[in-house]
Amino acid sequence: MSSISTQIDVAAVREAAGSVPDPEIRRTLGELDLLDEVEVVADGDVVVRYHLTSPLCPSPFAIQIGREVRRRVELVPGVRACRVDIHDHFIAADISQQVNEGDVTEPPSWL
Amino acid sequence: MAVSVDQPVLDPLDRDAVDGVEAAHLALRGRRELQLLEDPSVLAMAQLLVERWRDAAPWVRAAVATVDRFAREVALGDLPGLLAAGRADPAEADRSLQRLARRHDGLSAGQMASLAFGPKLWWTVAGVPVTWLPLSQGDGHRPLPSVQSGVRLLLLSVIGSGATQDELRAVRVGDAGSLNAAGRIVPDVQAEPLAVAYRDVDGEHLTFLSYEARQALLDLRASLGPSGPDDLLLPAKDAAEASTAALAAGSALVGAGNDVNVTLCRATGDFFRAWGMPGARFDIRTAPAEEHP
Repeated sequence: MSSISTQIDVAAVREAAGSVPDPEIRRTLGELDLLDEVEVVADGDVVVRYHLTSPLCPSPFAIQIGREVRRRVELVPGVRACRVDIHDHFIAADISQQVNEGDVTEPPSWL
Repeated sequence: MAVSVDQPVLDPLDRDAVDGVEAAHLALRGRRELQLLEDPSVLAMAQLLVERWRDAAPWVRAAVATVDRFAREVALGDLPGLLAAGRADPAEADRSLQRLARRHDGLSAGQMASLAFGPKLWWTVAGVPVTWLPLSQGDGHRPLPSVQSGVRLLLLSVIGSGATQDELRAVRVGDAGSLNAAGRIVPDVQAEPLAVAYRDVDGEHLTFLSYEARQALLDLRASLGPSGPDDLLLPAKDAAEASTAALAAGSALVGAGNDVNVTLCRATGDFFRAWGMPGARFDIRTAPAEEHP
């Protein structure tokens, strides 16, 4: 486990994930205290868990935020793949599935 | 006495005109007011908006919806009949607007201006002149305290007009006024609704300032003294400072709105976390029978 933690700077991952703004109000996950946990689960693999201000937050926003978290975190040195899990949302499973499928290499148009 | 009718002519062979008709219909798609476009006078009004406004759809919806109300409340369902009466006696146009105002006595000046927007434009485009002045002197004028009129003008002008601050800062006194039947500005900063012509890379467009923006403009012009048609609506020497202050005020307003949004979302979220998700407590066995016959 110690070799994993030396390869990935968890603080940098947290900073990258926390820098993602809400598309509507333009405040970041960090500012809104919505970032819950960053976990290095394997060599180069990271899991980020977050929630939103309301469990009824419109799913398009939730998906946009989650995918941008993935994109930013996967740019952190040492990170090979990032899985993003939303919790405390009434359709958390559906949102997490859409957040984690496909590529996230291009910056989104809403930024 | 009949008046001359100077209204846009719809030529079905004119590509732009046909596009304008289609755009007007698209703006009202799915709305009850769509059927009003079957009236040539209403279609002509919508067509003018499509052709001269940069983002016309909201204006088409506002204009036709208020004509729809006017048709029911003042024309008693006979808009062509009222138009014919106005063409025979132009004073009927202003009388009809007064009837609208009396029907909505008690509304603020801004609310009344919104209701009269479509009817005034409709009469005008149909070639029957009406008075482009407020129908009500109610309490619609509520200046923001401690905010200079130039700042208020910039802040309020961008709301709903579709024009940017830079575009509005280039507008001259002679570019603001009422419209004639052909959709050209008749300079008069007192006009209500107040149309302004502005330019972008595609050429000249028209828009309307809100009632509140017009009030800010009148306050500003009153403080500046006499002006000529080539003078900027907002003098250049004041514009940069006003723009900076307007941006700061705008950011503060957006920030305050965001704070409210976040607070409401958190409160709503906390409620449903405690109560359960919507429907979580619904039990069909205990629901009143009439809700699920």
